[in-house]
Amino acid sequence: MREAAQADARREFEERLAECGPLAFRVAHGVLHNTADAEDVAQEALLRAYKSFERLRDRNRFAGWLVRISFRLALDRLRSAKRRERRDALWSQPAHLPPPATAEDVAASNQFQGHLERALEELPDKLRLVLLLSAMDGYSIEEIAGMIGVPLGTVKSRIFIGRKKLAEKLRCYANTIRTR
Amino acid sequence: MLCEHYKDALIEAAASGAAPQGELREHLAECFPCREAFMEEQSLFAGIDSGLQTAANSEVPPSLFSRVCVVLEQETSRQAGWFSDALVLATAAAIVLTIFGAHAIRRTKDGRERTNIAVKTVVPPTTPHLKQETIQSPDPSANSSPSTRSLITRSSAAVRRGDTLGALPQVLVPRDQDALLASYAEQWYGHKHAPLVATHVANATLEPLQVSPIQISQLDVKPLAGEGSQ
Repeated sequence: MREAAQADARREFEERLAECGPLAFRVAHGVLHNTADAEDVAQEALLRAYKSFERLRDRNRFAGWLVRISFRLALDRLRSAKRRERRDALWSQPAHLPPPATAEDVAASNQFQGHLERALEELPDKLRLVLLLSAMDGYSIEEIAGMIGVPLGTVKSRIFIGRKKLAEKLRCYANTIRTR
Repeated sequence: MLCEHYKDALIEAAASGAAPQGELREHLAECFPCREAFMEEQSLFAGIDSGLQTAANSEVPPSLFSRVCVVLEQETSRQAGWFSDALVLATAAAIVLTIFGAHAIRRTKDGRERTNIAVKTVVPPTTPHLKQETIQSPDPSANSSPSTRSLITRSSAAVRRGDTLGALPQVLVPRDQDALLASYAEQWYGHKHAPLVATHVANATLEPLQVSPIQISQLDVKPLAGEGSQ
């Protein structure tokens, strides 16, 4: 009887895995910017989700639940990696990258992507998660609101504030706003 | 009018992605630097959105699903293993408990049978009589002498001892020695409750105990025989 219940839960979980596995990976990758690390985190998140899947009352909230687990695990890994980096930095010279000239050049370059990822890391977690989810293909703002369990207006304002904060951080590299 | 005045409105408009409206729109039409700044700002936000999309839509490695399936399989078998282990342990514990329980019940039954035999033989025939007599007296201390009172008190204590005889320590003896123990207990109990018998002669005066001196014959000391004694 228990084995049958386990088999049912496993089947249901595998059905959701096809849909939500990429989501978990992408959330982790959005935080970590590293495929191998993101894969590890996604695997861990899915395993944790599987262990507690039978306890999840509302299965429709699975995606949001998995996103939160994955995001939290990715943040933990990023923070421990940063601690390790700081330790290593004591023994090496930090790299200084020269800022690109114009916004268009910057946007096109890989350096801009690096700056963007660093700026994204400095954002508050709430803003970062919403920005990542909104940038993902296939999820509307309404779906994101349902996924993370906040009102639609809150999601919209978080996206707006997040983008503005990113622009503030990246403007110094692009030097786009000139005042007379 | 200073362009600094339009800075925030310009950024807001670029961030929202909507076309500039009203006063800002008119200003952009006549101010080339602000128009250029607005275009650059739009370009910055476009770059941010593009970068976010790149960061958020990374390609999922095909190994992820196979890895996750392997981990899930291991977890399922681990859970099943844990469950079967727990089942085996629970069954074993239940069997052990049943065996011990049955053994304990059998021992208790045997013990009761032996105790019954012992109690039957140990309880002296005078106890019920004494108990009845003590209960029947309405107020023993009212119309009796101090000696009688002490005897009655002791009798009550004896009766209580008789009531709680079942609580006395039980001794398990082999079956062939039951009769021997019973006779010994009867003798011992009779000796112990000798004062109880005295309740029948409560008014009798007690004579002081006369003990004759011990007679020791003269010791005859003889030297030890042999050379070693010297």
